[in-house]
Amino acid sequence: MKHLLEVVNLQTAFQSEKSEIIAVDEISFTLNAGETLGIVGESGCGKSITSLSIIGLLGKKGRVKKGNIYFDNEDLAQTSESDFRKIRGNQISMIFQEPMTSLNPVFTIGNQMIEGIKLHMKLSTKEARSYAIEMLEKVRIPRAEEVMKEYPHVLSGGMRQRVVIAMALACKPKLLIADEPTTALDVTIQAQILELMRNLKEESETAIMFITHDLGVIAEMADKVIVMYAGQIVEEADVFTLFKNPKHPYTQGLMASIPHIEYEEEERLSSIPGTVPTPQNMPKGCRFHTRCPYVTEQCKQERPDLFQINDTHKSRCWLVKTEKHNKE
Amino acid sequence: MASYIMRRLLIAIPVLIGVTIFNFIIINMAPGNPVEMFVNPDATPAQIELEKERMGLNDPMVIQYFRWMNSLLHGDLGYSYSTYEPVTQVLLERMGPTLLLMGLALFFGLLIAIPIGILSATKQYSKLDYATTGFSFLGISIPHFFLGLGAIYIFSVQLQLLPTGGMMTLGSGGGFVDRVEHLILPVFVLATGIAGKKIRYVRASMLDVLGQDYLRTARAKGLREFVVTNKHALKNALIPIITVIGLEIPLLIGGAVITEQVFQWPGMGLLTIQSIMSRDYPTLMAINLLTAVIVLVANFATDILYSVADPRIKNN
Ligand SMILES: Nc1ncnc2c1ncn2[C@@H]1O[C@H](COP(=O)(O)OP(=O)(O)OP(=O)(O)O)[C@@H](O)[C@H]1O
Ligand SMILES: [Mg+2]
Repeated sequence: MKHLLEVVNLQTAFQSEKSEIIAVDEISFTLNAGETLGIVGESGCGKSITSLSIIGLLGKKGRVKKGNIYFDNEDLAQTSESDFRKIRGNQISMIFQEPMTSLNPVFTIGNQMIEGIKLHMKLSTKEARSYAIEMLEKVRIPRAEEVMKEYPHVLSGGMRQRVVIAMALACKPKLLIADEPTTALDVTIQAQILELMRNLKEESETAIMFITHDLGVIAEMADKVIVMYAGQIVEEADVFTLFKNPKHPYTQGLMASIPHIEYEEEERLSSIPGTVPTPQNMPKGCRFHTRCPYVTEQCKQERPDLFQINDTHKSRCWLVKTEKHNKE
Repeated sequence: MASYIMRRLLIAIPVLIGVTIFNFIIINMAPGNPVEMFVNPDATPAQIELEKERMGLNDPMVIQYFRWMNSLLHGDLGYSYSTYEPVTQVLLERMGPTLLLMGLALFFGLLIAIPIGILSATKQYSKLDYATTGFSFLGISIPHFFLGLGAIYIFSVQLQLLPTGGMMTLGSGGGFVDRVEHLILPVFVLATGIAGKKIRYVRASMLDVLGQDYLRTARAKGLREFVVTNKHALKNALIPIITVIGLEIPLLIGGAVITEQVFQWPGMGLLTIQSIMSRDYPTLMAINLLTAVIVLVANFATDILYSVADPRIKNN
């Protein structure tokens, strides 16, 4: 079967005043209809840039420098902006991290909902209105009809995120990118939103890219997982394998630092000693070697590839390569 | 809302009274007096003194003020010292041309400033942006009288395309085309000043908005960049601009004084200069009062407009 989304060797660069910054590099993965892919990693590892590359919203300074993004057999890396607009919000939708600021404060919810529906589904204003109300009800917004006339500031964060989800799902996208959709919400609301997304996924065949730095959320939502570090994929596996048998020392570090009582995100992830290198001063060799407990001379000199451990499991680590080599 | 309007009106009354007192003192402190300005130069000091006595100019200032205020409360602004016409009638005649000039200047100033400000912000640090910034500094820093005289020199004297001043060609009856021709230069001068200032505000305000998350949401819907900029960003960017436009009204009245003088435009600005020259106290007091009312009304209208444009304000 052909994949819905196939990212091949993606490299995304940003133009800064002096030089070009490579934000993400060598990103390859596939995603099928109905599947949920979780992407985890520390702040700044390139999760958002990966997703913005796919939906083509890198802004003026950013561009896909290398690689291909095949979506429905079309290479999004080569698609013109005007063709891309027909896909964006229609076949690929995105939910952003900040529900408090992701709706326009001076337009009503209805206005903002209808806009995309009219654009892609070619409905009349009246039809679009009733469809928008239907969508709001689907994400369980009470008094949907009245909410249509409200401005965002009267809604709570959870309600706004529901509106954003309704907006993203309105045109029945084949791919939904959720970039930390619940990070800014409190725990109970977070649980409700996750539950909502799971139900919506079961109803449709939508593929989801779910970005978070919360491994607990990954365990709940994802079928397979990509772990990112410093702009690269360091480990890829299905969700059971990843939690049971993490191969990359970084993933192991992440797992080990999950506390049994809920701590603040930052605290929990900083239990891996050291800090993430910035794109401007990437270390030679393996990007993780400065923080790795198993570092060898080879790690300091040579850059590891993403080694295939088995059909569904890959890890960017010399140890894995050596281990596998020794077994054979 | 009703109580808010009431409160604003009640605050306006002491402000206006304060303005009249202040103006009365300043006007009376100016050297010279109206009698000297309009009597026959051969008049003896005794005759002048007699005339001053007759007009009540020798009474204490407080008495004069209350006399003025008393007539004002009876709806009477007195008679002009220089033309002997009722001041109310003079003002009504002069207000129309000034409002026309100000209105058109504001309209064209914004018509230039808003699109250019938007372009300048969306293409930040481009050649266009630098050119715009240069133009706007020029617009701000060239004095109105200089730009006005320059425009007259080029378009009226050298090219002979447009009239040098006035509201219409004398004796022609003033057809539409004739009036428009007379409007072009003064409106151009005032609008240039307004555009110069407003471009900077529109650009800054737009730049603030362009980085906002909700624009990314709008783009993620697949909207065209044109819609993202001119619907989603612009409406947010215009909210702070409303205040700036409101604050422009008093400045515009000041600018009109000079511009009307340069172009002999028969409006309130020209009247102000003429009244000062002839120490026409009743007319000056009335002009000042009217100006204060216009400023207060403009501020009030700005606040109302602001709350209409920004849904976040209405609730409180
Ligand atoms: N506009 C930009 N210009 C230059 N570099 C950028 C830009 N946006 C992001 N980057 C760089 O790209 C890298 C990846 O950023 P990204 O936003 O994808 O991180 P993230 O994994 O989403 O982090 P977070 O969890 O904090 O959202 C960062 O190192 C950042 O410095
Ligand atoms: Mg991010």
